[in-house]
Amino acid sequence: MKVLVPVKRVIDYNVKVRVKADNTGVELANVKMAMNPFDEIAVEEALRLKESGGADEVVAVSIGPTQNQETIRTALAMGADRGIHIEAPHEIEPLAVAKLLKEVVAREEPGLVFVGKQAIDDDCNQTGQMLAALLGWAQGTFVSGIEIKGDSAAVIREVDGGLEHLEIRMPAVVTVDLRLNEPRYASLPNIMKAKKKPLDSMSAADLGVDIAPRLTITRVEEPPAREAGIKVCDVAELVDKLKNEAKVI
Amino acid sequence: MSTELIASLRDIVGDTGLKTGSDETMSFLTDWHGQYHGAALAVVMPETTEQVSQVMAFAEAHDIVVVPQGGNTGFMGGATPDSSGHSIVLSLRRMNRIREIDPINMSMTVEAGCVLQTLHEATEAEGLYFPLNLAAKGSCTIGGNLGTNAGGLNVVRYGTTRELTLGVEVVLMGGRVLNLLSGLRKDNTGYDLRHLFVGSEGTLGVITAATMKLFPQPVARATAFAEVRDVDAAVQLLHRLQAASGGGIEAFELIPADILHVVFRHFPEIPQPLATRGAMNVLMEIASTNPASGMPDATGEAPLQTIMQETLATAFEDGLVIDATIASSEAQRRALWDVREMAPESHKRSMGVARSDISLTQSALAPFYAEMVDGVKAIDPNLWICGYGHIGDGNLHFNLVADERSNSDFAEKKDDLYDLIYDKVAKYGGSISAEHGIGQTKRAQLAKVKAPEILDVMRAIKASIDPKNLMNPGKVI
Repeated sequence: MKVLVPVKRVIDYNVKVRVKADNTGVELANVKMAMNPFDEIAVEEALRLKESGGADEVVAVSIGPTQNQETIRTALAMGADRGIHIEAPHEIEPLAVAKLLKEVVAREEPGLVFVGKQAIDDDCNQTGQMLAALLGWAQGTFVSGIEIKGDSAAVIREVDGGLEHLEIRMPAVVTVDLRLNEPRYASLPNIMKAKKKPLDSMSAADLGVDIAPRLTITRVEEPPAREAGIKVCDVAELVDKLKNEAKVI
Repeated sequence: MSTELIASLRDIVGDTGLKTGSDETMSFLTDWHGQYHGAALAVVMPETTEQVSQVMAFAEAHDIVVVPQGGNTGFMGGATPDSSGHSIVLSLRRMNRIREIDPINMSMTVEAGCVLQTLHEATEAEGLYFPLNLAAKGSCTIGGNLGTNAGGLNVVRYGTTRELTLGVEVVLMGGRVLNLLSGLRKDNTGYDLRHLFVGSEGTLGVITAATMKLFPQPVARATAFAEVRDVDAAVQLLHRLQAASGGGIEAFELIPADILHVVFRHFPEIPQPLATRGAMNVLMEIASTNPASGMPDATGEAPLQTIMQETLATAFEDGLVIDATIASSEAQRRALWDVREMAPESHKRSMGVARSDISLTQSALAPFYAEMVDGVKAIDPNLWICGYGHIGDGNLHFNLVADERSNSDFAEKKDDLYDLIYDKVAKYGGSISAEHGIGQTKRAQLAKVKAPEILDVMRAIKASIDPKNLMNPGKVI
């Protein structure tokens, strides 16, 4: 079985995000980028499946500018077998991504798609679900545990009320959550091998998908700055402020 | 008598600048590791150089011993008074103004009580970088850093505190103020007195302010953790990486397997960097001030990452490196650093530890290490041999950690272990104190290892500047 893992290039989550001066978006120039952490977990799960004999090939796919090849190389260095890069602008909407991935699935015919439950930049949490719908496949979302059982997969979903155990039909799209695994570090031999692994490039047009945006961003703003705390003199003042200013008691 | 003295001191520094009650003064009279407990007439906390000068004039007039203190994070008891109760602790913490940040001259003039981390934040806000970096940065003050000539993680690239110092302002016993503040990089006008006070541990005068060098802020980094063949291979890798990165090594830390054992035992949540735990490892970081170095180029890799990869790959082929990983995100970078930064805390949580802070020439590191391992095993084969640290600058914290595996008589073996360490350090021409100073802990050891004529000159200098021996006596010499 082949596993397809879409990986998104996002601003490194330890970097402070700044809004562009003209409020049209987020500043990306000279900002450190990294693989979306949830996608990293997806890569790790695909590799574990392969190492346990449950899959024979792991293919990483990324959609975006040329720099996204670095993100694919990161997946290859972790152990993915080959990469596919689809040239596109950095800002691309989940529906367009899902349509592109559907075409990749048609060509690659994987048995599973592992993908992060959401990207930490736009927090859309849509791509996996849209892809499953376009393909007519089963989907397991927010997954923190998975076991493949022949034609089906037992997944554990993290939902508000606790954990939900589902059995889903294969092929399937599985969106992974934080607690599924701890991604590995890429080892030096694998980093070197990754340079020689195949990485195919294609454009959105090659796949016949219209990726023109359907949404218009009107304005992006910084969240309001948190106000500095104050010191109160005594309990009475504290109670007064909690009652009359914060209105929490 | 003491009430009158205290009243006079209060006149100088005011109510808020004077602490006398034992509750208030306790934290100033005990050192960081809790090994020294002193007593004092009072803790005096002046706010200005003028007040320091008045306190020092008063102290000389009344023969009061003055023990200067910064953040009180020293390891050698250098800022703790003796137990006589006749001294005053002169805490510089309230002198915490940044007098000037000069982006044109790439320098800043700051008061002694500025906390190191505050200086990092203030310079970063100006787009500049103050590279002195040590574990205690959230509590230690620049005055203490100057007094002890602190080292830390980035010495390999930027030098010790001394090398970052352009000028100092010092108050001598008696109250004279030496204004040696200067932003000049070159100044050959007589004896360079600033270097006399940097590293003098408060035995010559009180540093009240300093002008420090600033640098452009590094914006791109590549961080790797590698298992190396042995200490010799680590040193070779250091020079290769230094050459490949154009002198861009920001940190280069030796991490033996035993330290990994101790760290992961107490912090099991930190991810293991490599699939197997190697005997000898290195944590290394290169950095560049050029943002393009951190962005993918036409090859699809960031140039800095390429330098790291290629250096490690060649060293791998040559047998110096056995396995390695390179951080692919800031989260991975921090996780790799956690392995190193949790080392001191993991020691604290162990049953016993014999600590040292030594430095050696690069050429002596490998033979020294090998002889130490043999020597320690002969004393107790069950100790964890944690010789780790900043080998980029020849500095090792050669610590021996005991746990329940070790024999219960660890305390009795400590003397043998210290004798072994200092014998080997002497044999290889190393230093018994690379960055922690002498304080009271190593004073006797210093007298053993320094030539008498060198000690004579040190004492002569001390006597000429502080003839009444009121400045932090019982420390250093």
